[in-house]
Amino acid sequence: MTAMKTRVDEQYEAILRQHMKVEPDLVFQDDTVLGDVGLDSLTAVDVMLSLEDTFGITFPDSMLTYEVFRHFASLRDAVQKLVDET
Amino acid sequence: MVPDLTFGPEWATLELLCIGIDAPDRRARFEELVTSGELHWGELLEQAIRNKMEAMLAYHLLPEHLVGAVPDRIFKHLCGVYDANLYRRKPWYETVHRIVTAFEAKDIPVAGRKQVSFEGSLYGGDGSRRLGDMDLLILPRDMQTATEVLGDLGFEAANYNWTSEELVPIPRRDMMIYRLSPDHLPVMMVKGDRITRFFDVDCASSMTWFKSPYEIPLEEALATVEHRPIPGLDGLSVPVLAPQYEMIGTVMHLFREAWFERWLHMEQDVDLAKFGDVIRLWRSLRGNLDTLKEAIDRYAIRQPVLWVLEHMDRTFHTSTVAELGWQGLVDDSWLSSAHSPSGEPRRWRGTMRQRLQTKDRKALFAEIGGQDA
Repeated sequence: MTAMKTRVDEQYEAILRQHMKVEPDLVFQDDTVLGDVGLDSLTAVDVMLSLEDTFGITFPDSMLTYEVFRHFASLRDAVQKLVDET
Repeated sequence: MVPDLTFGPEWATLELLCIGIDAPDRRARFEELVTSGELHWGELLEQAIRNKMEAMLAYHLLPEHLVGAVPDRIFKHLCGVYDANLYRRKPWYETVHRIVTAFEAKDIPVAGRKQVSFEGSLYGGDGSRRLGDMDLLILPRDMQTATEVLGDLGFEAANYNWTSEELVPIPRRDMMIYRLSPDHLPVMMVKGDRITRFFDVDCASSMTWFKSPYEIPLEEALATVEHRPIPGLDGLSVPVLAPQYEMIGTVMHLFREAWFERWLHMEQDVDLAKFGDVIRLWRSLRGNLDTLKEAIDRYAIRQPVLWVLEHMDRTFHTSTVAELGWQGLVDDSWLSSAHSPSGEPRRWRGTMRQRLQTKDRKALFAEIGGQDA
């Protein structure tokens, strides 16, 4: 695992927790459906803007889909991809 | 039954218009209130605006024996609002017709919702029903084609800048919300004239909301579409759903905007105009309730429907729940429930009548003693 990958993982989860107000003892799994733990479209936008600001990335229109924001892993992987391309 | 004066004569006046003053006792009460000398016209005007009933109020103040009871400048203002709404009918329906014709030419099934249908069918096309955006229902599979068709007609995803009088791009944040809730196209606009600055169309592909536990199969609903002529506008018609689907769609829309607290913060919470539509729809459906009941049960939507109808009965003294034979199926806990913007269960306090009338609705959602209201 690269240093960059670690940074994305940790900060990614911290941003999710900050905006979604999840229970502190919630353990995210790769297949955690974010919509089931409090992510609606309004929160998703806040999360995305925070991710863009934190990692210096811009989500292209092609990534602004329900599928990308569906699971913990799908969104994390999208962020990682954008970070790697930056 | 006529409304009491608990919330003042101004509110009772608007409640009468909401219910409809077609019955002699309600018309008499309305005229009595208007000519009583007791009305605070500023308060009446403000509440009419907040509840999207300015044009309706104006229309019903036009009879000659009532005009003299209205302060002159208030009356002229209301007439201006009414005239603008009446003027808007023709270009508004022409635009709807243009969109529908273009959709149907591309084999896109479409139905008009809310005022697109009700202005003519429930309000007689007299200009009293406020005309706002154009709500259309299409299938999810047609969203992209519909966007292209609207583009060909000159529409674009835009907001209106009232200062520059130009269409401007929708902010990225709002566009993201549309993309992540793909049951609505972004608002598509085209510029109009000095009276109707723009026409905006809202294409939905759901009669509930994205990821809703309640779903109405749109193929079934859109299979019932018929074209209905527009009163006073020869040659123009709008495609409308069968009555049971119009009722279900309208009730589910009201439920969504009342039950999800986020709409309150967007100033799109319930208002008298929304309940006025449901009351009139209900009257038009009487005699055909079996079809409605069957559809409600088939789609397993009794709970949200009863949330709306029970509130309506308690507020406006209608008897819809009894007419359905579904008394006692919902309790106060369900009726006071809501859904917070962060996804948590919420409660609000008070009655629907209080919620409609108060100018500080957020206070009804305030926490009490460390718990949600």
